[in-house]
Amino acid sequence: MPTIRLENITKQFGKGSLAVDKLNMVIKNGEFVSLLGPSGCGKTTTLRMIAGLETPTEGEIYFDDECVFSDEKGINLSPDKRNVGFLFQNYALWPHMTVRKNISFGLENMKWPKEKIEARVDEICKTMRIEEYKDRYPAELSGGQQQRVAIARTLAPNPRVLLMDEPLSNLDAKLRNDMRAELKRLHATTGSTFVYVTHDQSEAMTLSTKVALIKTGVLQQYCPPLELYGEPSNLFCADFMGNPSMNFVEMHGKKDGDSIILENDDMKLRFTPNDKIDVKDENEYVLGIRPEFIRISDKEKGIESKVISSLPSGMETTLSLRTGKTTLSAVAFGSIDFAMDSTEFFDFEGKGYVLFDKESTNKLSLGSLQIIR
Amino acid sequence: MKKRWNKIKTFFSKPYNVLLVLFIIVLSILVVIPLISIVRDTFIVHASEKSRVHQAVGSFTTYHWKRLFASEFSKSLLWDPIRNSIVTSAWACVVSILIGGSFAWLVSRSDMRWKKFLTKLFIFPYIMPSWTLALAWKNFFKNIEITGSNGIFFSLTGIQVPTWFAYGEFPIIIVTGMHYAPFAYILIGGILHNMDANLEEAAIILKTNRLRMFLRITIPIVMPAVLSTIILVFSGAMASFATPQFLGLPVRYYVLTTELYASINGTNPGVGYILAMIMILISVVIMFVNQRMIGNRKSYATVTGKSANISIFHLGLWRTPISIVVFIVVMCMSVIPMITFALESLLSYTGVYDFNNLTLSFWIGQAQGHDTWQSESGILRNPEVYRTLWNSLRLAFTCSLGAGTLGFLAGYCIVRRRGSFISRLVEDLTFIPYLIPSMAFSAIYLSMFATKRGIIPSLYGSFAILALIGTIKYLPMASRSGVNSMLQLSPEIEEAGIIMGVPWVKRMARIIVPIEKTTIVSGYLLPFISAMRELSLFVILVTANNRVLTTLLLFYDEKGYTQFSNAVNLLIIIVVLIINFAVEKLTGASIEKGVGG
Amino acid sequence: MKKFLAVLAALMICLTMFGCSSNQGGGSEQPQPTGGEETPAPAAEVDSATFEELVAAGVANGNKLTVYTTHSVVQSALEAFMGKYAPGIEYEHAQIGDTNQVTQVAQEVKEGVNGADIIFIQDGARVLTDLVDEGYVYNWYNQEIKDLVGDDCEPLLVWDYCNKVIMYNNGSDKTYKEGDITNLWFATDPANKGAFWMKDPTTEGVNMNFLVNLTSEENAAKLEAAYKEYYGKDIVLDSDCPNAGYQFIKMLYANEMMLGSSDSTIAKDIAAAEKPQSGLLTLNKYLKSRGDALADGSYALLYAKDDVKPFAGFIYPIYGLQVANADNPELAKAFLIWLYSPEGWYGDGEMTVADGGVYKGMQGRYGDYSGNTSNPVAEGDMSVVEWKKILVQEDAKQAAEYRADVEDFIQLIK
Repeated sequence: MPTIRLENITKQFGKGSLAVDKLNMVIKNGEFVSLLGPSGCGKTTTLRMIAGLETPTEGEIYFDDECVFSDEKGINLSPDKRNVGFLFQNYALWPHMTVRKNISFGLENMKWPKEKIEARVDEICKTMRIEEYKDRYPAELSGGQQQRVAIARTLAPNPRVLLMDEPLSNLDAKLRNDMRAELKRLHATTGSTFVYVTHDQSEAMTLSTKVALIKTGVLQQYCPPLELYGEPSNLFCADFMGNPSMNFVEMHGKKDGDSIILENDDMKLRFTPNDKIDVKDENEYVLGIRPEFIRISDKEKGIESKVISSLPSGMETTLSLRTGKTTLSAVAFGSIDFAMDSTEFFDFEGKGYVLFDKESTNKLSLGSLQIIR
Repeated sequence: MKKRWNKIKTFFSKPYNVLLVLFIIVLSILVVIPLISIVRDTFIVHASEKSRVHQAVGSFTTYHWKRLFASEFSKSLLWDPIRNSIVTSAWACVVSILIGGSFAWLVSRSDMRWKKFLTKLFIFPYIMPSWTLALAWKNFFKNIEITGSNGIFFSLTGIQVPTWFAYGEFPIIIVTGMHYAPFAYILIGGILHNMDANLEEAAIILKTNRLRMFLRITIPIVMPAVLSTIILVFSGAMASFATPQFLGLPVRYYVLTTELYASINGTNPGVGYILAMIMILISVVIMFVNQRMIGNRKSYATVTGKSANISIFHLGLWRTPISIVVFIVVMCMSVIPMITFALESLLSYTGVYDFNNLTLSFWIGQAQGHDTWQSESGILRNPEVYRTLWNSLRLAFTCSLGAGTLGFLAGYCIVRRRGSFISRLVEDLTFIPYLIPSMAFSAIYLSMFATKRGIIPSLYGSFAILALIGTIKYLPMASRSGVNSMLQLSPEIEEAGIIMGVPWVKRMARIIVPIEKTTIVSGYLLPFISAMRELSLFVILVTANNRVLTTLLLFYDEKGYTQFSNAVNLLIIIVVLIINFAVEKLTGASIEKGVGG
Repeated sequence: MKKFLAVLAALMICLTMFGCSSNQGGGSEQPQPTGGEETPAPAAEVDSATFEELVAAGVANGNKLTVYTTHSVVQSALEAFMGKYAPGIEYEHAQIGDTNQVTQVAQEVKEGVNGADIIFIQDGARVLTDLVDEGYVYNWYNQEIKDLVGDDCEPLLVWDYCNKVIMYNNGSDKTYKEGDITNLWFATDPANKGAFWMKDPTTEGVNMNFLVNLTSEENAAKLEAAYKEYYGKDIVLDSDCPNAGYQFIKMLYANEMMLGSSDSTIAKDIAAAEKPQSGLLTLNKYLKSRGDALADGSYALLYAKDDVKPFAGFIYPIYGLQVANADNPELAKAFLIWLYSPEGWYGDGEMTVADGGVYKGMQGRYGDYSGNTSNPVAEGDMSVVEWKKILVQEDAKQAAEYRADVEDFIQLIK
């Protein structure tokens, strides 16, 4: 199983519209990497460039040490020579072929002997639990079954890399959850390298070993999902990850020794960075607070707020709290409900608060908060 | 009892059910009865048959059937023409699919040059009256062996084409194929264009080579379009009259329609009606085989979908040569015929291609007298021409209004009740007129509507009968386009209107029609063009008072007024082109959308 | 779909039965000429009404006069006639080919639709069987016409004769030369394979009538003699050929006779040909082609006269016949009488047609000969009497009787 290396990959459609801008990425052997981002950010294009379905405008792509694309060296290995599997969003099952034929078609291309093809089809159908549908046409299958056939077809030739383009987006919620588990299990059993495109952050979070978050063709952050969640490198990353999403509070800050005094009309807080940082004496900041880091507490310690909404889901309850003009979402764990318009107090704990520079939107530091009265 | 009554009431509370029932009634009268009438006509003695059957006119006879199937005439009246009809129609399918299909592929899947320009020109052959292409072929490849004089091709190249190339089976196939190639292009191009590129990409990833992919993936997927092209082309070719008449007659090559024409106009119409039935039968059989082949299991619903990026095949080194070849072929099909029409209309003396021999006299000159070829004034100052032009436009407009509206409504209710027996019945009924050869159809309408029947007065010689037959004959195209457009519209859109209590008429007028505007207009465009260039449907129904341009053209042609007939032909084409492009510009509708691409 | 077919079949059976029975009911009523008072005039009692009386009666009648014709001159003649004799009365004319006219007139009279009052039509065989026998049109003439036209009043009144004669190209060493064609059998000679043209007999009836007439005993005998003259041996009839007429037709088709759709086009093609070509074409086209040749000088067309054995072609009438349900039969008859007068045939130099031009009638036309033989023919043309000697004259009765037989015969050999 190879390591995939993208170097300065750029893709331009027509004039002026950059789909992917100087992308550098290494996808290591056996990883499950998600390419995440809002629609139109270039993630599918990146995937297709890895597969060879799309030709980059500039840059180089390596599978291990083998260069499969280089605009300078004039190398462009065609898709069939890259030994990858590709799972399309709409499955792209051939409507005029039975399930069996759909799966065996690729194997025939590789000139496998007949018996071997049959054995492989049977085996993969068993793995994907679609044995009883082998002689059906795609139109006679449900969405989930079609999905499984598509996976079976992709996996049958044992590709060294499996590329997937939003394969779960056409399924209903329940099926999608089942399939997620299935994919993760597949990743574990096959040991292949998976590259997975999605716009659903929770899918990326739950499945991947690493997430590449892309915005308008530019890679924002490439790291394990929990790191992306906890230590977003900028406002975009912070905002994209998590549901309910992170609270952003715009505050004016004054340097006070190692810490910063943050203030707006509604709150005054002391932010103490986990690691020492260099900041200006006075600056505009955005403070990022994950909802789960807002703790409902007692009167003395907390800030007074009004409950605007309360959405209990059983396992936890999502709250909207207002203090002054600031509205914050918070999560309270356990089966509790809050009365609408009731008054609650909250405070902060832990070291997971993120301070962003308002102008550059970049993360400055993680740190802890103290309420200043 | 009450329950049943309520059931009926519920059924008719749905506007589309009412429409379906209305369609069944109206189409039974206008389509099924003519069919029955054809059957009846095969068993009676017609006026011109007295001297052969020796029975009273109108009495029952099996003479025609015996003559056709069990006499020494079977071979020349029936089997040879059937063989010729099937051979020419089948090969015309092949030709049109090869030309139209490869053009469609080049346009939608390759980086061929001048696509926009070429696609505009490519539909010209369909706009031209079909036989004029035959005329152009004749003008072009005329052959000294047959006519004693040579055509333009010889003048240009010095190459003498063999007789089989200029007359008979081969040119009939080529000309008919070219006439229908735009159909193939539009239908196959439509699928190629909407076909999910992923289907091909999936094959590439699985290491399929180009050829295998084309044969095993691309072709099977465009197969439904190919099959529907086959139906349209085969039935159309089967029913075409003028082309085999022009190109077959000199070498006495007869097909079913020319035999039918000779019979109906000669002394044995009864035999002609049996031939008409046989033609319908053959087309129906083809249609059934076709439906079988498409089948239900391999639904192609998954074919179209999001096709974000169609992979363009790079022709590379071949790009320019291929583009030039296509350019030449398209020019030969669409522009060169028009140039020959223009040229022929400008010649003082036919057959002399000399600059000094050119004149505008046949366009704008005065009549020169009986002993010259120009015994009438030029077509642009001839009030008769203007009258027929106006009549043609009026007729084409009425037919398109009728067929377009009915077709849209038929499409609406067929789609709303899709899968039900009644919807299927209406869908099949609307398609039948396509299978009835124009000439037989009009012969039947002549006998059906010449007499006062119930509340319908005698329509003989009236504008109404032309409008009626045109409407019904073009209904299949319009309803196909109607079905296609309604399939693209989700029922929820209308249901939203139902929930808000918007009455049906308003729902149609305010919701559905505006959304489907361009497709609907396209559904009107096709009947309009077809009616403008129709000949065989109108030729026996037109009386001297309501002549249309095509019958005027035929009249001039029979008189041998070559310049006039070419000028009128050009006039028809120009009028149709102007209207076509005006409608396209103004509404975005197009023939392509009308055919259902 | 099967269900649909079953329903359709059931529907068709029901409706067929209904349709048949209803028709039988209607079939027993023979169409009645709506005029009522007019019945086909037997030769014995010739109508004594005069032209003046008929004009007066027609004007008094006042109804619109409608004329269908296969011949274009009738149109301008009607315009001139109405302008002079019945100004103010509405009229209409339409040029309609023979086959369509037969269908149209039959249909119109049968259904009682107001159509033509008088028709000028060729193809006597079809006119007799389809129109006259059915009572849709009838033959009429008065004493004035009888005096001018004589025997050509019966069975159908001849207004105008047209002839189709053998025309051949001439003018270069690649074509025929004058006098090359001396015998009709040349068209069957393998040397002239594919070089002899006719307008398709199945699309224009007069040509078929000609072929039918060739099979008459008399004409077949002449053909037999001519065969011997041409081929130098007695004719041997094939088993399917009852006489030399049939044998001629069979050999004509076997020799790849060319079929055209228009005499004019054929004439032009022949004239422009660069190898010997000939055809049976209306003489009128000769003059027009001669006009072409004068301008260009490079090609020409000649026609055979009395130098061809046994026939140089055929001559067929355009008949003037009354329609059973005429609106203004009197005026129609007056018009017919007038057409035989020198004024009707050539104009008087003053009468005008609809577009304001002077009515010239048949002036300068080759190939049109009045039923009134005292009207002179165009300069350079021969008289109808002379033509009749060397051409087959259409025998409508014989053609009507044997047309089906000959058509069947051709069906088998074509």
